[in-house]
Amino acid sequence: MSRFVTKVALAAAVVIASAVPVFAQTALTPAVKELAAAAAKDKEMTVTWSNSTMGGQKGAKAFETAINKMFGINIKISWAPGESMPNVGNQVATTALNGLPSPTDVYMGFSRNMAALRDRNLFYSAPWSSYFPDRLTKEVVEEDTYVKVVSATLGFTYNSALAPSKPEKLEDFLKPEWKGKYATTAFGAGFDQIAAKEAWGPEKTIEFAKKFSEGAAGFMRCNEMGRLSSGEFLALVTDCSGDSAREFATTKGAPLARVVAPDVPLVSYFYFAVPKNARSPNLGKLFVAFALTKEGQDVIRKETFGDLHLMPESIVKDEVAKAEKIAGKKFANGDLAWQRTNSAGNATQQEVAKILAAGGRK
Amino acid sequence: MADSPATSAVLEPTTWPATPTKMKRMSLRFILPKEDPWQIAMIVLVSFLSLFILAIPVIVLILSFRDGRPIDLESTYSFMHYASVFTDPVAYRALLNTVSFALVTLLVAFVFGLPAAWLAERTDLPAKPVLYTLMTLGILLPGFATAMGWLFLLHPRIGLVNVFLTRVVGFSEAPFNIATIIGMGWVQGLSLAPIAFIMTAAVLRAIDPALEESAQMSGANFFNTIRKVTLRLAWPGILASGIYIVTIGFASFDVPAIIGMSNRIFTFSTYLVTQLAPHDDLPHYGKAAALSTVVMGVSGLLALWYGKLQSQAHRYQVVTGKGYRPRIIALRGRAWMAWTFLSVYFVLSKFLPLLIVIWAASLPYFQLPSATAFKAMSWANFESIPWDMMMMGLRNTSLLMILTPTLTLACAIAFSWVVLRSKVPGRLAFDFIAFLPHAIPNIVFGVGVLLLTLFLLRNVIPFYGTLWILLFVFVIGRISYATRMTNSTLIQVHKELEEAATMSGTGTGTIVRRVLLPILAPTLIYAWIWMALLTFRELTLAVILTTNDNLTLPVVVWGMWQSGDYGVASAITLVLICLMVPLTAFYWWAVRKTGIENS
Repeated sequence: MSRFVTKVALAAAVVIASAVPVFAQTALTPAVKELAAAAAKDKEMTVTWSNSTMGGQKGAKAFETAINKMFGINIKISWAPGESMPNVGNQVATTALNGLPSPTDVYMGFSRNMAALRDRNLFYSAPWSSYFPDRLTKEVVEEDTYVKVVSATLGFTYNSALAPSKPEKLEDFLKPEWKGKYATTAFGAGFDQIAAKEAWGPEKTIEFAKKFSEGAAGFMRCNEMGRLSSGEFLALVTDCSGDSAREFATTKGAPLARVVAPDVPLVSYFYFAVPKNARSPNLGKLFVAFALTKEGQDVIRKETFGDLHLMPESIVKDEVAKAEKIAGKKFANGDLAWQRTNSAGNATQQEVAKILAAGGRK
Repeated sequence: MADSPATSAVLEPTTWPATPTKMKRMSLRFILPKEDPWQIAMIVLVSFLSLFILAIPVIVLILSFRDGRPIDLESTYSFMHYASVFTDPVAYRALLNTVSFALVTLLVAFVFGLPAAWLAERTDLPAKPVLYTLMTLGILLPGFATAMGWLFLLHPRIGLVNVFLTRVVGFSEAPFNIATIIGMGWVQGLSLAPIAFIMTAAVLRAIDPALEESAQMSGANFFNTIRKVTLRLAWPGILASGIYIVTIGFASFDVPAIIGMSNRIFTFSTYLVTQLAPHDDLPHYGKAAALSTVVMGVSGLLALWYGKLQSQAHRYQVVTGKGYRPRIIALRGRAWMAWTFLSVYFVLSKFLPLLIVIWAASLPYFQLPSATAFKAMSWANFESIPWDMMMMGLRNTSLLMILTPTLTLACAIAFSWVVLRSKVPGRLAFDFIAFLPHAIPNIVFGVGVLLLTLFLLRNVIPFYGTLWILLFVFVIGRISYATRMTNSTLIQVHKELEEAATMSGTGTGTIVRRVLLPILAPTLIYAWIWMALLTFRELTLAVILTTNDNLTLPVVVWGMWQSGDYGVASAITLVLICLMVPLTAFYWWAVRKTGIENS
């Protein structure tokens, strides 16, 4: 009897083992095959974002290899160093207004950037769910145009070796020991979320921003982790999403730590969208569709240490759950639709940007 | 980076553009020579180029009054953008910062440049060629490289000097802070000291020593002689170089961007860039245009003052014919003091920042020297250089380095010929127009070209995002310098030579090719190489007008710096400097070969 059971178990194991590669390989729908054939004709595409976004040059190469492997095509992906996401968005808009090709075939922007560009009708819509029905769901794609690709919680990153104290919440940076030691972004990243009804609201945010601005040492971009690691600034408040910190700390051994702001119970997103003036629109669409496959999320996870928490294999999912536990409440969905309802928060962010530029003197 | 100085421009009152003569009513057949296609071609070229040069400030002016997006046909005109500029406290502070920054820059440049020029021209300083070589190299080192170096030297927290002084010497807090207007002016001034050196050296060289000798014979001591005689005689030249340096400081981008912007210190150029690439909205072209117009007004006043000084330059003409002889002061045992002073300058301005850039290029992220840091040193940043982009940048930069000086000089010869040799009515107006790009900060010209190509020429000549837009703006940016060079040389060529050729039946084309060009050759070679080198390091104009398709090498470095990857940015900077060394060597070989250094 036991020999029989062993044989059956072995046979089952062989069947399962041989079936695993089949199931692991993402199935290609006819629609995505058609898209891949069209994309192959584009031959090459350019992505423009900073070196620490999506792994920069290295990430583009990783995407190229994985896309070629999955779709059996031979395309080239070039990376060009871009300024901040809002600035690249400006370039997309400026070139579109002037009938010129976009600087990037895929634009990556935070929900706030996408909301600002949305009314200008700059991006292609596509039948995304027909490409990968179980991945590109309605929860992932907004308005058939904007595709969520990485989840982001609002927080701050600090130099754990040089920090004068361990910060746990935003108000900790108003303490005297932090004065003149932390940086923020020139456009007040995250203050739209801080000013949201789910968090502090506009009044408290403006009051905080005035005090906060007086103590800020200067401006840096979300991804300039070298400046935190070197000690030029000891913290970045807020840090947009924290992916850069994870990557920098892991790959370069930098003493960086990150805290999710418990007062801002929101999960936001970085989006991909294909500009209507892209040089290689089909390849752009294929790139975006691929990014949401398991293989695509693996590349993103490897290059950025982040992913989309709506995906079953996500690692950010656990981080969000942990932050929700600390905050004692479930985080709201800060997507593009939410951004449009947060007009007070958006207006507050613009006001905060002025306060920050004035150095608290406004 | 603005144009390099034309030493002759300081001394030649004739090079200042005069008021246009009263235009007579003339038909085209009187203006254009009937049978000489070369003359017609030169007049047409100069006219077209003048039109473009004038169009740039004009479009800036128009857009500064226009509401809404520049492409909206229904736009109205108002003072809205001016109101926006004048009610923005950050804009005010940026302008005030810029004035302070430019003045500190001037002071630092003079503190090092003037004594160096005096040592080079009026003393028997040993090894003068070394001084000239190092000063030239000083101009050619990219401004952002030294800015990066100084940030890592004198930052209050991570600056090596501050850390040494607090940890080892025992200072309670960091004594230096580079992230201030004075700090930024210090860095910019160090990099512009060679310009003060070159411009004032020419003036000091020309002063009649008999006046200094008379002063000393009358009992004046050495310092009184310098103060009351030498400096006063050199005053127009010193003032002219001062105005030149202030103009560069006003428009400077790299130092304020690297040191200032991250510390919330905005200057005119960095504020302008934030208006062109805001984080929360589409570009604010109208506000940028209004701000540029204000600065054009200020620059115009400065240029007028400069012109007035130049027109009075004859009062300071102390170079006489037979009585003139250069007087050299013997330093005797004090030569070592002179070289110590010069060495301090070179160490501060170039060696130390360069050393820091090398250090930054070898680390995964910037750290203070320690056992851990030395262990972390590697070639990884060099391996991470985006070579595809580097090669594209190198190709574009090389093309620009060849085409910019060639076309600029061709245009400059045409301008000089029309102004000095032709009979075209109102020809002196062309000289004024050629001088405009110098009088207006280059960054404003960059903005003007951006607006011109995006909103006026986009359907006619779609060259936004191409290499040609850079070539166009680089040529215009350098035309002032080139015409000063060709004007001053052409003035010295007597018309008799051309008249003799004309009498022999030779056309203008052959005269230019076989008479003028051989005579102008030394000046042209010097100016060509100089402009090529400045094109190699140009960032201010390029940063406004580049896209992924027309990247230049300095913009690649800037892109990496903007990406937060200091290590890779430092590594590319070092590659850039290595590429510059043979170019500089060639420059000196050419200068010595043509004998211009003594002219």
